[in-house]
Amino acid sequence: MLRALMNAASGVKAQSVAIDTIANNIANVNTNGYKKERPVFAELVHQSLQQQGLPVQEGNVASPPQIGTGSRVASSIKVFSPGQITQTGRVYDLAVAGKGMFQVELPDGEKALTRDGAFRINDQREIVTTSGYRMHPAITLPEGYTDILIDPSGNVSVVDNEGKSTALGRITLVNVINLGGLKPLGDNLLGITSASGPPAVGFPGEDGLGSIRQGFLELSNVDMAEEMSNLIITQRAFEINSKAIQTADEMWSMANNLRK
Amino acid sequence: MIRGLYTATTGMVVQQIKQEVISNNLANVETPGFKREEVTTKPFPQVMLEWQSVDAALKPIRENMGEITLGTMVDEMVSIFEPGVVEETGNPLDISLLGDGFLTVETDQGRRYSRNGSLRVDAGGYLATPDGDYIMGSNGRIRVGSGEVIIDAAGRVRAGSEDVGTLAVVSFADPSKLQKTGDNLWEAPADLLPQPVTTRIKQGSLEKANVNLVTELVNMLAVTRAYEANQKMIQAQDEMLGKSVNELGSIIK
Repeated sequence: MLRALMNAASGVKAQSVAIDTIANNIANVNTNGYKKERPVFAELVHQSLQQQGLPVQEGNVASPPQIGTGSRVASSIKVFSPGQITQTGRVYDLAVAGKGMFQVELPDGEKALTRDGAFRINDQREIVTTSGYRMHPAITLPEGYTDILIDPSGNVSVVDNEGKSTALGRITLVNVINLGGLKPLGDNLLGITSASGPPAVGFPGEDGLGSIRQGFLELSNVDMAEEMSNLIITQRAFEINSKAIQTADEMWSMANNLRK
Repeated sequence: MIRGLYTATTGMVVQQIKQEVISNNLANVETPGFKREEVTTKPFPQVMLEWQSVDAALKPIRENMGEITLGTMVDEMVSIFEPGVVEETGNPLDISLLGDGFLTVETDQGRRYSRNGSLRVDAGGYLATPDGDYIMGSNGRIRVGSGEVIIDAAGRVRAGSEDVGTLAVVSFADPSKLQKTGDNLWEAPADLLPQPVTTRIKQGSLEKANVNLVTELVNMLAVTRAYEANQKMIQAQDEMLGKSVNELGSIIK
């Protein structure tokens, strides 16, 4: 009876993780460059039922009876399908059309990746993310320019009021083998882990990396209709597992009431 | 009387195991590629009841009274290999097998088989399960690197424009002999050999569990009532024993 309770409890627990994931996706429906997550469930181990004292067929059966012990969330997969790209007209808004992520520098010198292309200029005239992390390699704008141009292959240049253009550097993009292995760091940033594989740095439009679109932003790839239907399914799965807990409880009560 | 007590007990224990299996099915209602399980039960072996008596010459004799079974037990745990609903996910690393067969998985413990089509690419660029075990092709592991993964209906895997392998999809003459090991994997006993099979593969979709909530709920109701009936049997026999012990032998004052 304990197993029936624990099985159902594991189901309730797994489904509540799924509800948390859906809630996080919905909360980030308007976060630029956010990639939705999806939980993947797996069975727990199977145990042999041939124990002393259980009425179970013994001996030479083809497959000795084994019993499952519930479910768990095996992993949470980040789905890297492209989000909708929308035109903003802002010169510091950059979208990657294709694979690759921008590289930013964290305060401790470590690098992080992001698909959030809403950049701005800080007080030292460096290109930073909305949260203030410096783009890597750093690009510093000179004083007194009238326009900033970033071409699809990532070359950044400024134009002064005499129409003279100065090249400032080139934006790099990073790709990893296993995108799902990246670790969310908050602030729309993702960190390299041993599961993601080493970062492959390249220039936009080369080595299979996407090109850069200035004046465009990639929105999140969360689909509300999909999240809502997943929410319904998950909630019902949660409910039926709690029903199974109730049933196990009732049965246990019957066993306890054998002796009045 | 005592015998009946134990018969009803086996009934309660078997119903309890049934409830455990139902709760496991329900816990895995969202597990991709999960196949629901059912318990089959059978009666204990029949035994002959005999009656000891004496014949006309007062010689002891035995007379057969008939057969009796003294309880029920779990016979087998059967995985029901009916296909689950195939859901469109749009994720290129989700595949479903539209028909018979299993994906071959290489784990630290040896070959395993799975119908969970939720794949990922590991840090080395190989196709793997969510737990990091390798998905096998007909010529070993499949390395897709960081390229775009395209899996066609025949199971050929391409990374970008490069052909990197073909999924090893196998079937078994008697899949009921497969043993579940957890983590959505099955193990084949040594005498059960995998046979390559042509099964249509659909990329961008996942096979969900084949658990039917209504069936499981109804089974759960039936189990509870059968459990209750067995409990009542035990109580009834307890009362009868109580009567014979406390009232039959009491000295009337």
